[in-house]
Amino acid sequence: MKFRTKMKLCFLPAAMGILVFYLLPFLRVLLYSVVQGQYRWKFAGLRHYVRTFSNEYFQMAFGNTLLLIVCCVPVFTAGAVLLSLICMRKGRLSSVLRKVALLPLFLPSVSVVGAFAAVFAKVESPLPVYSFFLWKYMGMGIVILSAAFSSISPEIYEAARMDGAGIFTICRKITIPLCAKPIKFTVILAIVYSFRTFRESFLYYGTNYPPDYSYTLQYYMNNQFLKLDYQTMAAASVMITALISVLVILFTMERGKAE
Amino acid sequence: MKKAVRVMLTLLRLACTGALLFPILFMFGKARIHDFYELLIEKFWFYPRFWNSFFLAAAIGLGASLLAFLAAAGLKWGIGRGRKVILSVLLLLMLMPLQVTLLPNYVGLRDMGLLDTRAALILPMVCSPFAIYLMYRYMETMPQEAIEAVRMETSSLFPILRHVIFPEMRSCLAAVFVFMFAEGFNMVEQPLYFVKRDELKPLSVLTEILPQEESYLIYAVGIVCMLPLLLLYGFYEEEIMEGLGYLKA
Repeated sequence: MKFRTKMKLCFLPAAMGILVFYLLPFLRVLLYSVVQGQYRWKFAGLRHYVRTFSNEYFQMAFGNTLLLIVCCVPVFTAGAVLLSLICMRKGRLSSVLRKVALLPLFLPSVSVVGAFAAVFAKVESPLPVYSFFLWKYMGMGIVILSAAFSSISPEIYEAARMDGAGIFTICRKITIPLCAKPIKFTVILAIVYSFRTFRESFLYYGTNYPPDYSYTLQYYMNNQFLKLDYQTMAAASVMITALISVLVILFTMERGKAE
Repeated sequence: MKKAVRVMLTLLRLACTGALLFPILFMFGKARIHDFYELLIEKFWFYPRFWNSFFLAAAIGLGASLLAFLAAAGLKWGIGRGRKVILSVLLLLMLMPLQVTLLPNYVGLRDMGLLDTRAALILPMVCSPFAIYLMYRYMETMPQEAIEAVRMETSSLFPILRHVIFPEMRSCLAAVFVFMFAEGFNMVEQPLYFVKRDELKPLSVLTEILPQEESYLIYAVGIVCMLPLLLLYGFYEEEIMEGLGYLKA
């Protein structure tokens, strides 16, 4: 057998897995969203989409998710940029900070939810969930950005310093413009992760029906799942998929142009 | 002026470290010795749960890193045309929120009759698009000549994978393993939807399984759950930093 064929065979198990668990079922989900019922395979047009959109809980959840994105994504990005800038230098404290910043990503949410619940016991807003989210996922942005920042060659910095540029000027005029792409990727990651906060929120409130201000799209989907309302859920899934696909495609298109 | 900036930076670093560590330290502060005694000696439900969680996470970590390793090698040296398409599909899947992929996962598992088994929790995570994507990004930086040189000697697959590619990929494998282990230890939605039997539920859905009158144990359980990950992270911290950094490209 040719070497190339053998290598192709290596890819097979993963391809099978992705097909069986992600792609093929996704096609079925697409179908679910346009038929009348799970066992009535009759075309229903966009009825489920319209029904989902006009549902008041869906609207509330959508609004809350938007609020989450609007509040958290800038903080996430700015925080990740700032943290990776200040832990870029060599030195003990910087490397400790880098380690600590990445750690939350690996800790089980259930291990720390107690701390957030105790600290924010009296807060009547989605703030605890926001801070839990930022605390946990900012590490991902920091890894990506510090890898990007450290790949800038030291000569550039040296030249800038020779010309008398201070730390802030160097950051503003060199580091950030050169890393525009990774920073954009971090923004995308932040948006994507803010669609993922269900886990933290669920453990924090310990219920499927949190207070109204924290009822995000994920709760809506979760409750449709528990009600076995596949059609609505499929419609919501397809809409979110489309939204994120657009984001990713915009991102990759721009990347293609830059190269 | 320069000195002032430096002092400010040091203070900022200290403050950030403190803020990031705070929840962890808080947990350690809240747990009482007596809780640990109760949990580890008196409570009979704890050990089976813990090992169940641990087993699931280990299976996911090992399976995902092995599968992603093979897939990335295949993608780099086996597939020429269509690679770009596959990569964009992987990127898209990797960025999808869990709530969106859960329904396809659920449908796939149901069609194969795997619901309510351990496999339901393990298999979808093993085929993680994230692991494959990251591994490929890392492998992309390996020089093409390395393989070409070996192929003069042999064209059998296993020695090449084992002795040429594997050593190069060590840090990425470690990163993927730890990351997927952590994901496995931390899964909440999957056990909620895919399994009904109580004994299959891992510790990560603690609020579902912890009896109401024992809710003060949450700190102790949290710390015990944290330990395996703290250890893994401590051991492989550098590899993780290096491996995950390849996502940026």
